[in-house]
Amino acid sequence: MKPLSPRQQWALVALAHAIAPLLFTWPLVLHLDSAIWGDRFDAWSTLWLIEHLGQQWGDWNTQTDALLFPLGYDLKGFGHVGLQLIGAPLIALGVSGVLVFNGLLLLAFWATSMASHALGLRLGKSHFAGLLAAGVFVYSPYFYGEMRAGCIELVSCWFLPLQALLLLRLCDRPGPTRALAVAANLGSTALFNWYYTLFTGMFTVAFAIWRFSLGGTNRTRTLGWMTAAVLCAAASNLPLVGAIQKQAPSRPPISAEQFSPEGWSEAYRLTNSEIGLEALTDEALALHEALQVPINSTSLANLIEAGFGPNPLESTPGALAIALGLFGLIAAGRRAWGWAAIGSAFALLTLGPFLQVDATPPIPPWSAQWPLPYLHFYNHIPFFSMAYRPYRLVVVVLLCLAALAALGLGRIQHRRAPWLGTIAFLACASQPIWRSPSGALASTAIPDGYAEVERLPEGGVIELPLLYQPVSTANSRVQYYQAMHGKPLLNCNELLLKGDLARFRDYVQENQFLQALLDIGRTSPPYNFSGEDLNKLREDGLRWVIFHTSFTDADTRVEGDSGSANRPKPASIAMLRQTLGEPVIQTPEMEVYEIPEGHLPEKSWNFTGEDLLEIPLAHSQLGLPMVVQARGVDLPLNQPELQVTRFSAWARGTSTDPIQLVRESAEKTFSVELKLSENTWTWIEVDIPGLPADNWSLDASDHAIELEIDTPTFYTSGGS
Amino acid sequence: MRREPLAYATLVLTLAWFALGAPRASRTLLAAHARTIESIQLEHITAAINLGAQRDPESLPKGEEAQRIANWLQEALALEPTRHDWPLRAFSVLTAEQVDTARQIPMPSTTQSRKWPATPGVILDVVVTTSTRYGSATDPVPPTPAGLPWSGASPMDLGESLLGLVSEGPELSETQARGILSAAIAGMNAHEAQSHLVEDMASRLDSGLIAAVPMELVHNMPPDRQQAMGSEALKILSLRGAQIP
Repeated sequence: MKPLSPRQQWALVALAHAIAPLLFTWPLVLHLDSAIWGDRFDAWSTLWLIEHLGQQWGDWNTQTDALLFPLGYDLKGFGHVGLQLIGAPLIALGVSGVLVFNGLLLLAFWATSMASHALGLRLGKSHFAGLLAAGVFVYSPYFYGEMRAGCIELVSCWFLPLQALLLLRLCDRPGPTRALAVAANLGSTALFNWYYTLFTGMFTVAFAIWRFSLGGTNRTRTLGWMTAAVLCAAASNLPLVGAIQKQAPSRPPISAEQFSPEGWSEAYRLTNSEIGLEALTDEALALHEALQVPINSTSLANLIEAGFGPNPLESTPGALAIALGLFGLIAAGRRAWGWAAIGSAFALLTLGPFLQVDATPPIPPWSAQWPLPYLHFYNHIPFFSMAYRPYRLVVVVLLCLAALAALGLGRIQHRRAPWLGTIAFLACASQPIWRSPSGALASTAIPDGYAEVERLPEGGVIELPLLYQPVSTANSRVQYYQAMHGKPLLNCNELLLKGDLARFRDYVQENQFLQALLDIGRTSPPYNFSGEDLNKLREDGLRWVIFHTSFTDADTRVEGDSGSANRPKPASIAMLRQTLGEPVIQTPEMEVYEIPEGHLPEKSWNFTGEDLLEIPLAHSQLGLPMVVQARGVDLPLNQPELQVTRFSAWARGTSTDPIQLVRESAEKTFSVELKLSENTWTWIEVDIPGLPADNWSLDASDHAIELEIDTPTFYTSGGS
Repeated sequence: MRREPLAYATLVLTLAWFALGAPRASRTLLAAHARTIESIQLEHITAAINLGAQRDPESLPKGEEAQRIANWLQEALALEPTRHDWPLRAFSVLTAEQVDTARQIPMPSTTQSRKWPATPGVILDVVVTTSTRYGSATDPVPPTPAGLPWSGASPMDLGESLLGLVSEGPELSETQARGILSAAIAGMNAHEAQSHLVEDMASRLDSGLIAAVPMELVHNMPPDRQQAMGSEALKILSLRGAQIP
């Protein structure tokens, strides 16, 4: 058979690297326009950014009112827009945002694969070495975890293997052209990702030290051109450095004492939006920021196991990459030592400031006494503290393992290399299939009511629950919905920078009505506010309040036990309705209220919730499902002197079989059906014709039904 | 090339290490770490309690000893939301053998992240896994290891302590409540006197609460194991009037 030309070979390689991501991201290809990988807020934020950039195409102002309205948000806070900008023109041309998002993800995989393939080819002298390098580098637990979290900008990591390749070429023949290529690659990385800019720069320095230590006639000249390239890249990034420093002026110092159970608990309460706004002091925010470093460090237990899991925080190079890297180290001998040394050094940095055995506090005393190099780098090297998620440094480790594997493949017998390279590539790319990490695609369906929201008159939107952190996917999706309805939104997923969070805090604290809406699923009455508070919101342009009456169970949880945060309490809903009147939009999934204009400033509202009788069901307090049987579950309520006029609850059934709310008495049996949606939390309300508050039960009609029920409540005559 | 066979051997040995040795090494490390910082994970408590119930019901604590464990658990609960990581002096009450065995049991939740803590379902799975691994209630009970500090106790005492926590203790998260209930019920399922316990539980807790957990246990078990353990859960359900298909 006629050998393939180099062009044909590259075409085949490009095809292989286009197909492999489909395997790695399976079954995404079947849902390209209707689902994304993404179970945290990052995915929905990025989806919003792509849509927003596309809709604003041609307008290069980084300030936007679309989020954190009316305060406004600076898009530079995202820290990365390069990849999203690639997709923005497609949005402007009318392509679906979800399709663009998934296309960019696959593009990121493809481009990163091609760059690592080129590096492998350079080191192993064959396309099979290229395949192996791409397999080890790209199809790793790290990229899988970031993909699954929806961080497509972290999957676009072609700069790092490309930088390694360009540095090797510069060493071959030092000169201005090749140095310029190094500078251009390093300089352009910043547009896509600040982490990778830092990591690529750090790798460049490590590489330079290694090559200089090798000796040789050209080493001074090579080092000179490398230095010039790095300086050029740094100079090109100066404007961005200013912007980033403005967004995040400094990182707080870190210490072992901070990583205590108490500190950990506080950090997670803040992440879960459980801490009241008034407690968001500069000290609390600084502690939260500081703890991100140990929390985002690789633990020793995870490193030993080198598993393939869905959580990026636990990602390591993975067993397969480590095995193939060690294979390469042995096969290639001395030529591989530099890569091994750099890889080991960066593996040490991924462990963060202190060695943590299981990544939970407290840190063992011996570990606190002997901090790791990361701590010294963080405290003393300029800009290093911006890389405050140490686990992400694993990309450099992966790069070195990929280089080692490719080098090794180039040193074994030629007839074996194709087999090993191909099998290893396929094994790496198919890891999600045979290692079965958990995870599912998230539907990007938008509730029908948003089409009506889009048609409403101009005005800002407040989505309930209003939180300062997106604690659930249901909550974080509202930012994505903003791109659909186009109205400015007070809610914001991007309050990660303490400056923005402080602005949000101050704005909400100035308004009693906003405070009443804050964390509406976890707060309790009293709620007190005045007409002036409502008028102020209208003056600021905020006009619409959206209350979601239904969402799927899969949308409820990002952090710990935060499901209840999605479900406004009956007292809050009563307060909302009594204040704002009838909804202007009502669908099975949502209700939209208008903040009326022209209230008398002195008019006051005081909600105590006295007219609501919340039923103390052990199930709802413990979050356990109840098994409702034909004979019924008695509701522990015995206040016959009170007349109830309404019943409400948040409920989630495992089927759509009806449940009856029943009151039995000697005279008459009253029964009303509660309609459930399968695996969907639904706000249920039924009217009752003034009956005593006793002898109530929930009955299933013919067979037992598993039911989760939250805040079941009766309304007495005065209730809403 | 002389290095090539060595390279292949390295590849095979490394993969073998990750498949066989690394999980055990990681657990050994975690166990040593837990001893150092007097900390243990919720899953391990659940597994250890259940393990004790399965292997030697009579070795479970009773009376004051059971109350002490309940108190320790209460302390640990107060530390929520540190999630799985519970500083627990009760660790010292378990024998080294119990702890080591518990730690060797695959814990699905240890592969979950701190950002996505173990779901209740995972904890239930752990209970089912450990229960079935060590046989059903009708299997012969292995000989009692000498020197168990829990010797002479009954699972009823432990169950009462745990249920007391749920019904009267501090406010519990979903994860905690389910884990504790699962441990209690799975532990008691191993004991012949469980029906008596269930009546007690049913009288102490309001409608359906007890029925709900065994229902999930039954659902989570494959059919062949339902016969071994599910019959006990079905008894519980039938006491509550559930119609079991």
